[in-house]
Amino acid sequence: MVAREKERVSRRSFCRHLLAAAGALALPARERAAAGSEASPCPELAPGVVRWIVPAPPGGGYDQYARLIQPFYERRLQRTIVIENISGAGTILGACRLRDARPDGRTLGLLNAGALLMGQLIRDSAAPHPIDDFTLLGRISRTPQIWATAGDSPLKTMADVVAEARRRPLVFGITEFGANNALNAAVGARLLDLRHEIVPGYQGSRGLTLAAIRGEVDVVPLTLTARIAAIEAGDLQPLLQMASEPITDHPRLAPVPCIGGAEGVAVARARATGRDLEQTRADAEALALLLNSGRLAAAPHGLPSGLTACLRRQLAAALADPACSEAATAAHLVLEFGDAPFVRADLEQALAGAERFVPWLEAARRKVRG
Amino acid sequence: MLAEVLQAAGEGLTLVFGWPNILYPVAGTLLAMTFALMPGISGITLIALALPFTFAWEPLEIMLFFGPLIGSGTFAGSITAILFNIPGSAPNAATVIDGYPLAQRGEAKTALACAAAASALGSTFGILILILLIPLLRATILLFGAPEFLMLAVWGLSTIAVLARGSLVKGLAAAGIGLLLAFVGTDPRSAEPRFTFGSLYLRDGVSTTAVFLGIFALAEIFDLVLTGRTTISDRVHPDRLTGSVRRGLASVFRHFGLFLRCSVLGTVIGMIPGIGGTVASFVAYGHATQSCRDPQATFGRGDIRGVLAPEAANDAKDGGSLVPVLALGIPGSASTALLIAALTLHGIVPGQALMTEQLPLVFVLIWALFLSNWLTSLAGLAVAQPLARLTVVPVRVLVPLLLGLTTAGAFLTRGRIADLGVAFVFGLLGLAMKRHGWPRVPFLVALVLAPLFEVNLHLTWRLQQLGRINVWTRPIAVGLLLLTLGSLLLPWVQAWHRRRRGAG
Amino acid sequence: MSCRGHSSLAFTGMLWLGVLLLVGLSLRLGHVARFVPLLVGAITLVLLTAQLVRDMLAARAPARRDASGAPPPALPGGRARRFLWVLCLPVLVFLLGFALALPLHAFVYLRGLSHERWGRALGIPLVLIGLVVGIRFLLPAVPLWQGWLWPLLSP
Repeated sequence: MVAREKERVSRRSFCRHLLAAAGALALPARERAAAGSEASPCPELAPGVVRWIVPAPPGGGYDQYARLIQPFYERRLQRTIVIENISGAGTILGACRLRDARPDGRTLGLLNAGALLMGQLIRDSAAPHPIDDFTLLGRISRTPQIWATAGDSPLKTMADVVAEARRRPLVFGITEFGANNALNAAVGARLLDLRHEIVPGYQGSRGLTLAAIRGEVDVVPLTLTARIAAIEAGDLQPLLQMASEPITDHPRLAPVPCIGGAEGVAVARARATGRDLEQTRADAEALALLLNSGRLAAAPHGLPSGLTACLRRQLAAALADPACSEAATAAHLVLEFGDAPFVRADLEQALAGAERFVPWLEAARRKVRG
Repeated sequence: MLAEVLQAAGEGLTLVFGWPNILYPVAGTLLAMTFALMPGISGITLIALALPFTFAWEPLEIMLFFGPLIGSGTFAGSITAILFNIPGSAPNAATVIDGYPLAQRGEAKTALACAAAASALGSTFGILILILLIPLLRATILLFGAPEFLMLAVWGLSTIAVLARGSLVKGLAAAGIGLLLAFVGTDPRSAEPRFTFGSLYLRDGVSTTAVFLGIFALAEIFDLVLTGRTTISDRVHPDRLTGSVRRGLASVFRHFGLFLRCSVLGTVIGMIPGIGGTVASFVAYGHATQSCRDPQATFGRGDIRGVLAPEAANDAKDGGSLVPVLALGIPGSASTALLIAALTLHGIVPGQALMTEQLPLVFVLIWALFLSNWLTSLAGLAVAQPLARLTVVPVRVLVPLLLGLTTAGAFLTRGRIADLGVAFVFGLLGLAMKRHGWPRVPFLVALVLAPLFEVNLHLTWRLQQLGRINVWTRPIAVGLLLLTLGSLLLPWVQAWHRRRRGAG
Repeated sequence: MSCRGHSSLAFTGMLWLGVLLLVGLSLRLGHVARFVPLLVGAITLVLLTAQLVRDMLAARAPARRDASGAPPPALPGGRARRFLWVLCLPVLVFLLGFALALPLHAFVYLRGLSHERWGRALGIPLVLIGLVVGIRFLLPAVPLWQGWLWPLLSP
């Protein structure tokens, strides 16, 4: 345990940190040094600081991933990367800022692929198109989604959930329509043919977690990585993996079934209720693809092809760095790099398959809107 | 359990106050104080900036350094609030209401000293409650749900009736306008844009900091320019200032009951994830006005209780905000969210695991927070006298500096240039309200509490409809409702009693 | 009729129109989204109407005069000019950016409009430059607005 093993911070350690802080303050000097003296492996990259737009406030998942990758990508690019948190409109504002920046490689950013895809589905005119408006550099991580309930809930398995839904409508908590968890709940429940009610208005995954623990709602749709600690502590128990194959080999998720796949819960429910198996399987795949679209690294549309290829190469190398993987593991973050063409194909497939969800989403939304 | 807690507390104390460990909280405090004087730059910004540099740090060092960043900025933001009517951050806006009039009367020293003392003692109270609650953290958090949040908002909004009593129609109308302004943005349930006129900027609503800076700071700057006032305090020589540090310190003890109640309020509100210091300080301010017999006579005109109440609540909330972090690993505020991020990056998961396996480390954080709050307040007391002299600096010299601070602050909060325009528009509105006798405080109280009210009204209604909760069996919610009714009826009951006594 | 009464009436009228607009917009929202805003808007409109009537009656009162019988003095030209110049600050910041707009605005305010001594007229803009530079260098991840004009003018 840290405090017992190390009784005091050493004087040397403090001085080292003080010097590091001074070095940080002398950032402009670093800028000039980086710009002039060290040649970047990407010669087309203009000199100077690279802005990395994170479309969420400091401290959240996106911010953590950005800060994790920052030092490794900096080393690869031989450029200083400055993180700029531009949150708002459910990550759409940051995406718009990235879209409108100059395509010279000096402004990069993270995108919430799920929010942008959702924006297309609900015909949000303000939301940029995830493919047409950006130059994709690659996927940093997926955003695996689950259904969870309170640790002490009587609903232990999906069989319990289905049985309960026959007795009374299940209550799902969500934040708001337009968020991924709304898609997760509304489409997932519809796909599994479960009677349900949706209660929107909770503040973020922490609000949903508390709502589940207090017993106000039966099921909460969550991003696994955001609440893995609560699952390990027994405050939440996962019920369903919103994927076609197991998201992770974490022991707590070993007995938890997947919604998609040939033997997934969706197909089993379709069989039990006499619905079209093939269509259900395709819908489950589309939902899984949509929800797991992940966090993407991107640049504004129109980046020169040579520079694009170089930035992609260096990003892949940064994420493949063993030190980066170690840091991610220590921080309970899961890096899962996907190269740009593969990611693009995924997004196109997700959009095509998800068109069927539009009327379902609208119906759920109309019910809440009144 | 108690023996374990006490032992861990002792270990934590030794770690914090040992050499050279103590250098970390001192450095963190100085950094937080310096930047907190700048409106728009808060502890959250500093923690976010410090985060990359903590990758190589040990968890002990993170706790030593981040504790001060969470807590120190609060009092420093009150300094500009009192002297110049410019809140350092949104939670300091309530201090402006009575702090600035005190400065205008030449009593800036009294206000600063009171704020410093209330901050230090309030944070101590919050920390003590946190320590006492350690065995009960989880159960405490789970007591509060949508009905409790709703009743808290209703109680806070009920203070408007008290604040507006002098000009009831204007006050209530101003509150209504504040509520309507808070509804600009996206409906929290259906995600339907409301009053956004198709603008992406307005989707997240209007920046409350820009509105505060406009309606108070800029409105006062405009007024200073238009009225041709010589100095803020209307005095030209520092010897003519009538404030006293001793009087400011004594005021906390003179109103000790109020101080305790506001500290409790701040701690409880701090425990509730997502509510924040702004709500805590305004609810405390409202409570202070409710507990006074004749609030219109003094509140808003330089009543020291109007400084004491929000300051105590605002700093007490720091201890409270650690409760959900430690109990469930859930951030109580934006700054604790960053703390969790910093710890997680080092493989330390806040929550039950931290509480059972690394309790001394938890106490390092608590003691570092305690130390930094006292350091900030002592530093504030030391500089209260020289700072108060700023109120005799000619206005024509101050105006450009204050404009610079305010405009930078309006922009820096969200980094959006449109917030600057919003601040100036509300500056003009604030000036007009001041000139035509419209009270601005009910407007602000309503603006701050409206989101809490609306979201939890709908959640409570829906959950009650679905049979998931029963509001009438929840003691805290019912208690708050009775408190609200009592506060509203009390003035009439008192007046009726006085008339009866007079007639008899 | 009193001047002060007129301006109060105009201000209340402006608020009344603003709230009416919001109430009108609320009617186009879904039931859930409009419930609370409509309720609050309606109550506020009633209150503002009552205040409007009060202000109308007050505006009809004869103009208040001071002891000498003279009308209230007009705003001195210097203060009016300084006030207008203060209102120009957000436009200047938008066009030129913080680094240039703040010190320039301060210099014109102090030297041009307040006839301040050269020492202060230059010293205070320097302090503001220091503030901007301080933020720029100490907090590089917190960029101040650079100005809308410069990207247009750069090649």
